[in-house]
Amino acid sequence: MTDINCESILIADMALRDGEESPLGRQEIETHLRNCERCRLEIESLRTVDELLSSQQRLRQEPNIWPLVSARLEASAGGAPPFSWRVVLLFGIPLFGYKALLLILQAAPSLWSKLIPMILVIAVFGYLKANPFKINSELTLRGESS
Amino acid sequence: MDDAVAIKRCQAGERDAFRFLVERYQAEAVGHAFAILTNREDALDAVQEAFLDAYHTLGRFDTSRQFYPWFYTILRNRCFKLVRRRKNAGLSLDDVSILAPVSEIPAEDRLALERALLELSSAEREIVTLKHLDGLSYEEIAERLEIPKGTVMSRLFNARKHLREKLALRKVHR
Repeated sequence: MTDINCESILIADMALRDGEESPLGRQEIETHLRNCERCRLEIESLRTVDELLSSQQRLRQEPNIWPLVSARLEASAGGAPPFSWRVVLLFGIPLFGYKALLLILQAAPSLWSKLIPMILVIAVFGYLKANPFKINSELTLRGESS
Repeated sequence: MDDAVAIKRCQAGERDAFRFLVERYQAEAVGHAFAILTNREDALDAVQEAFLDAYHTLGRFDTSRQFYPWFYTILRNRCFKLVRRRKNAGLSLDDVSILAPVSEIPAEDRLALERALLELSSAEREIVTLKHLDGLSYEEIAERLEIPKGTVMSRLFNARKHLREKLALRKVHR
């Protein structure tokens, strides 16, 4: 028995029927089908569905989109620029953070002495882009192949 | 006028050239949107929004590429956004029709297939219709859906299997 499973046989057969490059050759497929009744039945029923589908055509729609698209383009050309959340987030979050920090520090001035070292440490780590205390779990032993 | 000329004229700011593209591809686009959304109003909304998106991004379009496959990726993004946002509550399947009547096929078989297609997920219906109704190759489907060819094979296989199951159920209950 080969290590080819039934699903890969069915997919390869489908690709061949569709006139596409198949991951398996016709010979391999036929050898498997000779010994696998389940696949033979499966392929037969899938072929019936394919035949039914292949004789169909898409229902042609006849819309007229242009007047709507044109009106929207006119409106967007003359009107205000579209609202962008990105701009709000870009300016809003730093401003909110700054204001919140000021309020916290006014309420508890002693926080300055704790916050400044923390900010300095974060800035240094950000600059180095690596945490010097991080344990390197990807170390390999000498002589060990990767 | 061909697509490349129309696109260059759009990029130069001529809106009439965009009209050419809209009128050339609107029928195909609505058909594709409809196959994903199964709702005419939603399909028209998605196509309209996709054309607007395309107009605003045409400046970055590489004119050596074909317009419609590029536009299709914009359209399907719009469609799947709608799929996530809206549920087809109260949708009557009698109003939905993807397949054209073909004289050689009995109407009963076509209707059974139509209903089975509508019971598939949007993504499954999309891949089956691209393959069988548009006759696209795996390579073309992979380009449209922005997925590898191997994924096209497995998705198409699963979609066909589900379709067969839905059709078998319909025959059992008939």
